[in-house]
Amino acid sequence: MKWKLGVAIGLAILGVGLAVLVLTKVFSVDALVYARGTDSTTLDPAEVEYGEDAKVTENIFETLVGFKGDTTGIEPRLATSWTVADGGKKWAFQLRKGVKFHDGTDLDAGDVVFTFDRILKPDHPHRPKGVPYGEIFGFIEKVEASGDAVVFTLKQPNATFLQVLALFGAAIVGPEAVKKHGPGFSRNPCGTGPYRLHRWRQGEKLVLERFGDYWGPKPAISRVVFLPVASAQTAIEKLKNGEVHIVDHVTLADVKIVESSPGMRIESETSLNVCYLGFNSKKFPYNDPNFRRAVALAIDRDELNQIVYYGQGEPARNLVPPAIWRDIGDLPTYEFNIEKAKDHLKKVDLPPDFRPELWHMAFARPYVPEPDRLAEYVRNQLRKIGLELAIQKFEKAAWGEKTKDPDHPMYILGWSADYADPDNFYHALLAGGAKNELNSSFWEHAEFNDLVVRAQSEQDERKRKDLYLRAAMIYREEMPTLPLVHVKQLAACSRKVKYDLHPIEVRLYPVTFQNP
Amino acid sequence: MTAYLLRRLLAAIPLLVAVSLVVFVLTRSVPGDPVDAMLGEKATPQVREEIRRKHGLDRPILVQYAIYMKGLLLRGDLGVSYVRKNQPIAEEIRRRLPATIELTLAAMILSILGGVLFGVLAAVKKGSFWDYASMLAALIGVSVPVFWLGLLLMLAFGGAFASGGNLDPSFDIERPTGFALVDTLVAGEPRMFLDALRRLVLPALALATIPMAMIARITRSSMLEVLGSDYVRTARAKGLDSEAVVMRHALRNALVPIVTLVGLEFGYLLGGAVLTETVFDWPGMGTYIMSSVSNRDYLAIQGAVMMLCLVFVAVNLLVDVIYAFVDPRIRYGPA
Repeated sequence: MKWKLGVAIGLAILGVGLAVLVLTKVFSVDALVYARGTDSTTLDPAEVEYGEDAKVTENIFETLVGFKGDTTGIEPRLATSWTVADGGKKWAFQLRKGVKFHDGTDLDAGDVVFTFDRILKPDHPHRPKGVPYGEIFGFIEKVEASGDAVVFTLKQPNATFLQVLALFGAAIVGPEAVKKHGPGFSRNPCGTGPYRLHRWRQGEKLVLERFGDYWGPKPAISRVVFLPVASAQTAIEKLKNGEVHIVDHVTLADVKIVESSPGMRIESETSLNVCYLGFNSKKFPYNDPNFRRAVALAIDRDELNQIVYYGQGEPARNLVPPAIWRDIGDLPTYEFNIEKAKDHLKKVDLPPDFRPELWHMAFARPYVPEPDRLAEYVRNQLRKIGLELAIQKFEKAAWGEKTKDPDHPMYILGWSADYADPDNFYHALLAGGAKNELNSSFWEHAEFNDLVVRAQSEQDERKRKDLYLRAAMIYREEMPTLPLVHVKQLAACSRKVKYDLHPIEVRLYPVTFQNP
Repeated sequence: MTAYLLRRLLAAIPLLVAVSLVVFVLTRSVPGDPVDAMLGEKATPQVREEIRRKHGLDRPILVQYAIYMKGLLLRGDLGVSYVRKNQPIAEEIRRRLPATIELTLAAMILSILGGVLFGVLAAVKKGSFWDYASMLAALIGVSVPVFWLGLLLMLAFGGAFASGGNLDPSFDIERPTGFALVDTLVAGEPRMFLDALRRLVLPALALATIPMAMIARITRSSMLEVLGSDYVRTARAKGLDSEAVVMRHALRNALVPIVTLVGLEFGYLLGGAVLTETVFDWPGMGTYIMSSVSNRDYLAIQGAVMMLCLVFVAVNLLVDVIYAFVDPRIRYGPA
């Protein structure tokens, strides 16, 4: 019987041990824990391409101008004021006084010049290997210091200049730290922002701490932990258990679950993105306007929003999101009409048993959280007009090549704005013909091109709006791509924190703890 | 013994070279371009080419391999991650390996304790309810996929224990060893130590299930064989009590096949850790390999797989050494 006693004692010890573990569960409350899908790859603003990296740098670094409140309007940040001369080609920015970098050095005009030279000059000794947003700043000819001011000379006037200066890639970096760390600056960032890097265990967590010498209002929360949690479900579980406070990659399907759970809520905000269906304009039958119209007429955007996006999107009327287009003009909704679609399809000389192809990414992006579901919806709709779609999907590393493949067919793609201007959609995605790598349709249209190029440098607001309206008409008529939905950005939050989403930036410095 | 160990270590070198070559060729045969992952969608073709040249990705694959091996053998350099910008791979592995070893060891201990206990119980009580219950549990244990079990455990007990990670993210301590249990003790933080222990329970259990079931089955059959042998009958005939016969005489002799299995299971556990870590967001080698594969971070995959291979070789060697202690009949001498 001795062994039975032994087993009984063993089990009792195990039970007590587990109970102690469970009952001693305590979570620290002096840090804000922000769960996201993946970790950062770099903290050097010049190297940043993806939103995931920008989420952190936007809290460490600052730009000359920033976004006002929760809008995309521009207000002073590191610059206090600015003047424009020479027909929009010369911009002088007066710098804020008393601003310190995280390494204790003072901000001056030379630091701003250093930051932009590093981005603009290919032979700059401290330029990182890749500067993904380098081309966006390509219209800047030179940047010079002039006392407490910085003077930008542009190659040609550019109406998007202030928006571009507010971009995370234009954040001012501490030159001493850049020189000290070399390429390691990407892991030892030094900016002027409200938070500075405290610790980064890559793949595990990234911790920011309040910067005591910050020039503006200091953050209420002393530490912010960015926690990569690949699975959204796991992240929601952590939120439920009180281990994290904000989950920024909540799935659309989980919205109802979160909303019905005590202690959690959903924050939502308009987002400057678009998901679209594109056609290879150089390949039959996708190059036939009748084929494109047939597909366009077969898609019911309201239904698509409900089925694929769980009602968390806004059916698109334009490639440019409404938050940016709002002041420009009203565009009608896209028509949904199966019979008309069939009529258009009859005009296309399709071979018997022809199966159109659709390529899409196998991974989620903000504008297409469930790519399979979207592809399946398109397949069902096209079946209604007699087309049997063949679908192929590709993993992340392969997808980049596929969108540039001259032989690709129809495809699902999207775009999140870098800056809040129609230019970042029409010019970035469709101008320049096949030379533009982002123009996956290889679409070329001389008049459209001319309109969006002119709009880029047009200083008169009214004329600029008119140019965009005309470009929009051509885009809707020609249909190189079909905008489907603008997806809202969502975050699942603990009721213990007060957090407001911004249409472009991730701002954690205004977050506060509160009583639920 | 020393000569034997040296021979085994030398034999491991061609094995590691072969593994490095296979992994090198396999990772590069998968469709996808690491330059896309490195530079993203917005880089110009010129920049892409420049980066390709800089990393030698434009060279023939065998030349790339030769360059890699030269760096590895001459400088012990595993290279720099393509995706995690400017991050030396060796540093990342050094940081992550302890987390995987901690999880694997915990699962190993659980599987040995549980497996031997259930196996002995089933053998001693052969044909009884305990026997059938243990073996049914073992059959289920062997059959359940580890990621599915992990998800179930997390859904059922995640609230009570923790839903992933090896330490509460808001805890901020130095991590000299990388082992969460050790570091929290070194930091003198009992609250964090309990947190680390609590977080270990579910992933270790999920990972331990299959090896535990296999060890239970082997222990049962090995014990049955030994319990039926003459010397056990003699021991019983001499009037030794049942516990002494089972624990002192039978179990020690039944241990040799169990030790062999445990050595092999370690390899399984390292492989299983990749899936378990993904489910439980465990910051170890598994999550590193998964993210490196999806980003085509060739050098990171290469370094991580080779490191796991090295650990596996070392453990197998250790198992062979343990044989000599378990079974006095085994002695290693010159070949």
